Amino acid sequence: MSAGRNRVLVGCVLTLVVVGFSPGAWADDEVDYWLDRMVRAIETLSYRGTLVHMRDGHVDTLHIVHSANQQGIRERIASIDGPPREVLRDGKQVRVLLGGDQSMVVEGGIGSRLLPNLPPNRLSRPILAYRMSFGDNERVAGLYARVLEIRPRDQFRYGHRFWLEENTGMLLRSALLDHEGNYLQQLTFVNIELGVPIADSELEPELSASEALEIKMGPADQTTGTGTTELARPTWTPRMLPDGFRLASVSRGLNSDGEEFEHLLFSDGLASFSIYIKSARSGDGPDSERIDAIGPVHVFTGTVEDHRVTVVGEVPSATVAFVAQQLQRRTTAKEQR
Amino acid sequence: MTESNREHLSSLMDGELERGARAFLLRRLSNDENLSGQWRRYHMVRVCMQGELSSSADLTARIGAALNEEPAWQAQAQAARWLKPLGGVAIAASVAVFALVGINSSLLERGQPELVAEQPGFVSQPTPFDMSFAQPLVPVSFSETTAADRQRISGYVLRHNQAAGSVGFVSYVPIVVGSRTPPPLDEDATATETGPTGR
Repeated sequence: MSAGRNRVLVGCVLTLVVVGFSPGAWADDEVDYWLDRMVRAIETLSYRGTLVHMRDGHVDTLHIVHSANQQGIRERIASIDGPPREVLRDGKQVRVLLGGDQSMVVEGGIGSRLLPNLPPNRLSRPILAYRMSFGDNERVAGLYARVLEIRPRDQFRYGHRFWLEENTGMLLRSALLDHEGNYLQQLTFVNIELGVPIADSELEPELSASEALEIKMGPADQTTGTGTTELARPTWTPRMLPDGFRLASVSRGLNSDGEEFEHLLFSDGLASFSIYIKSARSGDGPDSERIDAIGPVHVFTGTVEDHRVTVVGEVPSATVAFVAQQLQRRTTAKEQR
Repeated sequence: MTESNREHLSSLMDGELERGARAFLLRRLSNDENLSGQWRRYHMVRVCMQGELSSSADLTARIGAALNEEPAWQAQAQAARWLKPLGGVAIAASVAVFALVGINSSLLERGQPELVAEQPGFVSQPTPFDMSFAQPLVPVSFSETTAADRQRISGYVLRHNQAAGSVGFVSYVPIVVGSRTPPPLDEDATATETGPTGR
């Protein structure tokens, strides 16, 4: 066999190697694998630990207890410093207890998640919206962690850096970054006990909810998600969306005042936002638009075509404003004629 | 063309493709007419974005004029027609400074008016269409929100977290932390902090 033919053969083999084991495909599978592990570990492991949250120069220390067993998932997240605040999760119910004069109980009325029960990265391939890669391994809270970097390709979503425990995939540290890579917030365990039994008493609230104002969201109905059949046809839709976001579910519910709203949920596979639309009424206050910030979660409130619109999501403020601005009542072919 | 091919083309344009994959893709470009056509279109988009075209049929000026003169939705349709062959260019993120990218090509190809009107298109960056971005809303800290609004918003945030099946404590910590009452500020500081919050 001539040297030329040998070179051609070697070239073909190398080409096959490049095609079959391209770094991009390998890295995507590896990222999927670790994102799967992270999501499953956070929900299915039992653990207790101390979390430190840092944002805008403020430091909050939180105690977290998470129990996952045959009885289901129960969790308590409580502030250690500052005014007492707690979030309690018990199966499908979530309660927020705030101490002092802002005491209230909020109960989410959704019986179950509206997205299919898949890891977020499986819902939609987020490769177009993000660049993902692994950094050097590091040590967090005494455990060795794999570092996963997720950089957004545009300004409509945040970037993330996850430190995932090597054996379980448990999230030990999480950093939220803006489009340019600046840190917005960090959340890190300073100590954690993984796979430990949790006593019921550890999940009891310290705050009394007996005199707190209670807000209950009504149950969802007419719900369809991407995991079922076709989506219900929403009454409203944005003209334009940030690239990569898809409509993931359409549902209806009742707010604490008994008013019905339409709920649209969009996801790009990692980030998600909800749009709530209800008829405006006199008690809704001025028509002015506003954005509330709960840490990285932004909430746009405004009025579109005599309807009160609320857009909620852990996305930049520009995203909720943009989506609300694009919202329009859906016109059917029949109406157009 | 597959998403993977678009991704690799985009990475090649951005100079981020690994050496072996780069050599492979360049070989494919010389043999694959479809791929090389896409490559040429990406470069056309890049020069448009950077204002590098200066012929009498200057696409940059024409697109710019369309953006400036037309109302938002019509301008979108106009731009969509110009860019119809350029579906999927969102991948070349570094190319797009403020321009329209990532037109949903499958949506455009259907060509059914009612569908175009009903289904959302896509953008990757704030665009000149988004005129209201010129006066963006300034987010208000949750702790400055009235009790009634806090209750309303808390309900919506919880429902969103439950609906999205968000990632456990990562999703709920902001609710705990965001509910912190801010330390008292003196009057001057308060005036500075609160500022304009709406339009």
